[in-house]
Amino acid sequence: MLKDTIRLPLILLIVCGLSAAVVHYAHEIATPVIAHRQHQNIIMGYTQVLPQAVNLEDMPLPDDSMITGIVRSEKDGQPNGYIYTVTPNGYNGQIHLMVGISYPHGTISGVKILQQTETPGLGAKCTEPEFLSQFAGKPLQKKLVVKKTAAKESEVQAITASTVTSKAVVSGINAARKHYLANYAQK
Amino acid sequence: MLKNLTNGIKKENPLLVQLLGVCPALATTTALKSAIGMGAAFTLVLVFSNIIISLIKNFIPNNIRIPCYIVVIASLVTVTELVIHAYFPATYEALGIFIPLIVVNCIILGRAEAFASKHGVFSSLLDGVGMGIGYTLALVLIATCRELFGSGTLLGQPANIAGLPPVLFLVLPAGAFLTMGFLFAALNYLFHYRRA
Repeated sequence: MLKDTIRLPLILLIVCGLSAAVVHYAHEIATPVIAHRQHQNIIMGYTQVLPQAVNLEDMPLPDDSMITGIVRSEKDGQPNGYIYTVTPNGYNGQIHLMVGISYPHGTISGVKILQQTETPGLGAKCTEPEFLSQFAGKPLQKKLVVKKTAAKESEVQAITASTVTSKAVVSGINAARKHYLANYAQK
Repeated sequence: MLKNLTNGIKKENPLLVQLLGVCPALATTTALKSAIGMGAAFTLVLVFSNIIISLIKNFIPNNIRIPCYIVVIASLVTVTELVIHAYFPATYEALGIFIPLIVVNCIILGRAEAFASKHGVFSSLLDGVGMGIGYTLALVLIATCRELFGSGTLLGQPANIAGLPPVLFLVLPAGAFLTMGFLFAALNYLFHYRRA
């Protein structure tokens, strides 16, 4: 009896210890690869959502907002665009996306999903160009709204059967829009 | 020996016959690509968990075997997740939450308990490969039906057969149950009923 109270935890400890060592080793190898790729992804994303992006500079972030990053692109001392990173809550966790806004026209130049955990086959379609390409060129005067069939310029065609995801993406873009209009837009 | 391998593919197919691992089968079969990714990740974890558990089976006392198996499986899944995240980012993004959920996939614990803890390393390896292939085949079958008829695509490429409009319902969870029901009925008819 006493023998078991020592023996069993000891064996459990050995099993857990060895497993933890293996996981730690894999983590050590994989983390830099993942971080490097995510970094590359962000750099690539900048030029995808704002083709004219040069001389990027981090801008101050607002408090209590889903905006997690703002960079300003500047050419010849004049800003020519802003890129927002926003993290709205999707159907299945946070969606990380990038919104490019070109300056001074104040139109969306592109949207890219950096990371999402939406349902495969449904909400996960938000990463596809079919959904994302509709944002390029949209003006920001009006708040964007999600519609089943988009007719007006301020309307966004929802992903079929994934309204929550579509609304989440659009709410992220609207957060960027609001901040841009309040702080950077040409009056 | 060979029976250990083929058992999991037909006679004791984990999904089609034993009806285990239904939850990930419902969720990851909306598209063929994610079904293949899921099948591959699942097979990898199952093969290694079978090997490791059959190696340590004499060392683990009977009354703490389940926690030990779970620790082994959870570690394997974490390693697999890291590898997929680092080297197969597209698969990682397509499967999302369902990779970590392999930990609680009952087929893996089931094979550890029913097979690997009672058999040698090589038999366990074959059993893992067979069960993995069986599960992957079942996923591929369901996903092919759902993607072809539900989205009108195959592996993301447009493949509209006979000009049918895509039945979106099949991509939704309820469509997964229906597809599975009809497929299992058809397979049962082919393999069991007709022979009797």
